Amino acid sequence: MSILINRNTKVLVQGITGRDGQFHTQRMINLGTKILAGVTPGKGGQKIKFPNSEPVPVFNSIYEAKKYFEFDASVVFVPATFATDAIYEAIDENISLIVVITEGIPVHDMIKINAYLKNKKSKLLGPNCPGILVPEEVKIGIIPHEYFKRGIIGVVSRSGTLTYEISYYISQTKYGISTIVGIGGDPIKGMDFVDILKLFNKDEETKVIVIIGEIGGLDEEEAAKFVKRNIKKPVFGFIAGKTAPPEKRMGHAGAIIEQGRGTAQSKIEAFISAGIEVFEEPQEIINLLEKINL
Amino acid sequence: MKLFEYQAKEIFRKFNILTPKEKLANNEYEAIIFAKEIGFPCIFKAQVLVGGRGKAGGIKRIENEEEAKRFAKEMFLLKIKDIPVEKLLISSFVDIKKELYLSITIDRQEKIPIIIASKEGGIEIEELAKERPETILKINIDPLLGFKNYQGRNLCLELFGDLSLVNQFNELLQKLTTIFFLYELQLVEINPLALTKDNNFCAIDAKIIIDDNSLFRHPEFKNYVTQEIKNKIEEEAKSLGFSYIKLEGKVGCIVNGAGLAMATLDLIKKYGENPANFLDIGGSTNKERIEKALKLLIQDKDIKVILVNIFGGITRCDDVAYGLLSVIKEINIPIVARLIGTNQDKAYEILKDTNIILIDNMKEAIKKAVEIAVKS
Repeated sequence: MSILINRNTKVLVQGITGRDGQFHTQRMINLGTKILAGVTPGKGGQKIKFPNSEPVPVFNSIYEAKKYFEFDASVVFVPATFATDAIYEAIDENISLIVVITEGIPVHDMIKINAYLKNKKSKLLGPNCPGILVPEEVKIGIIPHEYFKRGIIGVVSRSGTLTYEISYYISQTKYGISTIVGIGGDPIKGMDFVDILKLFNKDEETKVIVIIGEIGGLDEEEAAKFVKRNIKKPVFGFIAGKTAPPEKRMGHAGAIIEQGRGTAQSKIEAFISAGIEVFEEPQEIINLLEKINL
Repeated sequence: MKLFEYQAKEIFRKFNILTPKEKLANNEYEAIIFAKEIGFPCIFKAQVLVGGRGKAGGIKRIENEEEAKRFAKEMFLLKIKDIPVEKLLISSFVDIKKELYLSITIDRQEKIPIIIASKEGGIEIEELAKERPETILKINIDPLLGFKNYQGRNLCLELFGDLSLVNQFNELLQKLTTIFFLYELQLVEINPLALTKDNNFCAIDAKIIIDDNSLFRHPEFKNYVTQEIKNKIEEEAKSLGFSYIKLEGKVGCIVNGAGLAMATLDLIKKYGENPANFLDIGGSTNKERIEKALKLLIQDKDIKVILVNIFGGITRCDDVAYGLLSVIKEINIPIVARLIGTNQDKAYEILKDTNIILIDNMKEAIKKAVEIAVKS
């Protein structure tokens, strides 16, 4: 089994009529994701045609869409200026899993959304994340699925292209990947490393876990503590940003060493002390995986 | 976006938070006039957005007109961590009974705002956290309900040992939380916060950092001058929407995605050179953006080789290739390109007759770029 999603997951696309929303909806359909409907306020009533698929109906609201369909998940492509509202709408409509691709959502919105989520049924992935891919089966988000092979290794990451790079090498081994989850590059987000590690730990298909971290915050340190206490499966770790200067935002809003905290060194040490084997170059994962006996 | 001290204090005064009497001088002559207006002793404070200003001679107590003349001249010639002093804040002297630390920021792990306070003001909180962490007090703020008065009461008790100051202290906390939420700040800090001889709270210094992502809701900051952009290339990069940081090495980098860009810099260093920059061209890019990125990089005369590292997902390798092709004639330093993913075959076809060095393995491409830089 994969984690979070599978081929039966019924997906709603928020912001389906935008350029990115439409492009990636097509790509999700290509892989086999069940996209039932889309929402764009003001554009309801139309149907978007995608090759090799039923036309996808567009609604003005999730409330309206739910009169015709049930959804397990939504994916948000709505621009940052309206994304917060789209997320609240999905929470209030009890969508179980909300995956937010949008970059640039204000931090104060994210702390309020997280507080609001506390007593709700929804789980939030992202924002500013590439989503989830179960290779050769299904995806929600923008991960370029063509490059990855299905298998037994769970990958969780704060990054996009770096995740593709490392997963590409993993796919060259005999093992392949069970699920890739990108939790996003923002300082305040929904699910953290630990939330995903819990799922990988329980998942029988996943035999090995790879954590891809980067400078900023204490997410990797928390992940290391969790691995040390709870995970028996082999875990490998990569940290980007060893050469990053302090107080500079390295592309991701969350990738910043502040007040001396969140350095690559601190994260690497935390990984090592938790028994996580750290690799320094993306390609090295191939050799490390070849050495393990499962 | 970081605000200057004088800008942060303008906001404080708007919310009736007490500050010293102050005037902003743009040159040494203004500084002398304002010093006389405010009266001696007064304080000259260099307006720069870097830490360690005091140690670098950026804060001076001025006793008389003679000193005002001397230091006004000296301080406008000062550079603090390479940043020239362009403005001096002339600040009245405050009779201080006690110095405290007070700030509101966001706790990334707990995902909530927190108030941080300490009896020991005046030193940087990072140092305090290392040396006397037990003196640092924290209060969680509910993001939906805000700050509650009892929390301020408890904090007041811990800081002062009694409740005689509780009303003023809570009023100050209320104002600060209002500012924090209204302007969607990452940080509002008063360090030191002075308890004056006549038992008032006065913000001697002020620091405000606004979340860049929320700036679209705050047009009032649109025309604020900031000093964070240090050089022309960084300025141009920002106007093009690139995430660019100037570094000190010889290998220029163009990478898609922040994580991959950081990993690329790390490997350049590992193989014996230093990266000249961080440049993330973003997720979905096109030919024009690649051209612009290249033209941007070649302005940096330290660069001896350009390394292009692309994992095409949404980014299409052929777009990148066309971008490279169209500016290659204008570039007289070697380019090493590694393009993998979407339309990679087309990209290699487009570039095969050029002198761009094509290597499809990331590690080998980086090694090659480093080798060229070392030899140069």
